Amino acid sequence: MIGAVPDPVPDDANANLGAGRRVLVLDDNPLILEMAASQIQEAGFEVRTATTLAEFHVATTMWRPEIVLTDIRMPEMSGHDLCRTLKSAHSTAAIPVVLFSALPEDQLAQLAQECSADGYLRKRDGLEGLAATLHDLCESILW
Amino acid sequence: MTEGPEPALLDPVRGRKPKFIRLFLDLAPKDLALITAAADAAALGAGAHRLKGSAFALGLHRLAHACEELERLGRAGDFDAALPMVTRLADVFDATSRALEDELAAQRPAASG
Repeated sequence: MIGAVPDPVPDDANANLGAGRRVLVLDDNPLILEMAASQIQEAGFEVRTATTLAEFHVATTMWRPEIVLTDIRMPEMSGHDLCRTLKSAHSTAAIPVVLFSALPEDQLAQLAQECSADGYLRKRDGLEGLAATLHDLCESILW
Repeated sequence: MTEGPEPALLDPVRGRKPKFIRLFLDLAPKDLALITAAADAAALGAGAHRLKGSAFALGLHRLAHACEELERLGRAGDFDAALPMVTRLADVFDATSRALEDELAAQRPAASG
């Protein structure tokens, strides 16, 4: 499993980190969603966002994300339960899931391990390094 | 009880884009309203959690840590102990919002050229 980390990369160096990879971000906080989507999109990822489980399921089915980034504490379902659900279904088991939370890192790492997430990203340090971290996770997990 | 020096109001290093500051100033008061109107510890904890995420994302350290403390009390079901923290959180929220408005105003001349 992969942890969070890398040093933020300068904006211009980020320009095509994503190479058009499809990232679906689930978070019930619209500010976080907007910030995360903006950072990831500017780095060349293709991004869809969802604030509810219904939106998430539609996007998962219709858009087929290559990677899912999910918050943990949400009103409808926790991100780690969602991860377990995705990993237990044949149609979604292969989609890498990354937990994305403001929890302290030790708790975040433990939850990610317990639900077989493919990695985790910290909100506590801000979102500036998000695209670079996501890129590193993609490189490690997918390609 | 939090120990050590009080966290900085705004992370001095972090670059905050004007559009995200404006989004915070637009959305976060609704999160604070959910906290101040909470009728039980669970609602208090959930509201504090939501505001905490926004605060950490923007480098609003003092607010983030105040939210974290309130969230902890809320999740522990300690509504009575949490209530005084709500007043403190509102004060930190106001100070943070003022600082963000100042930061936004300072960015404006450069942005308009």
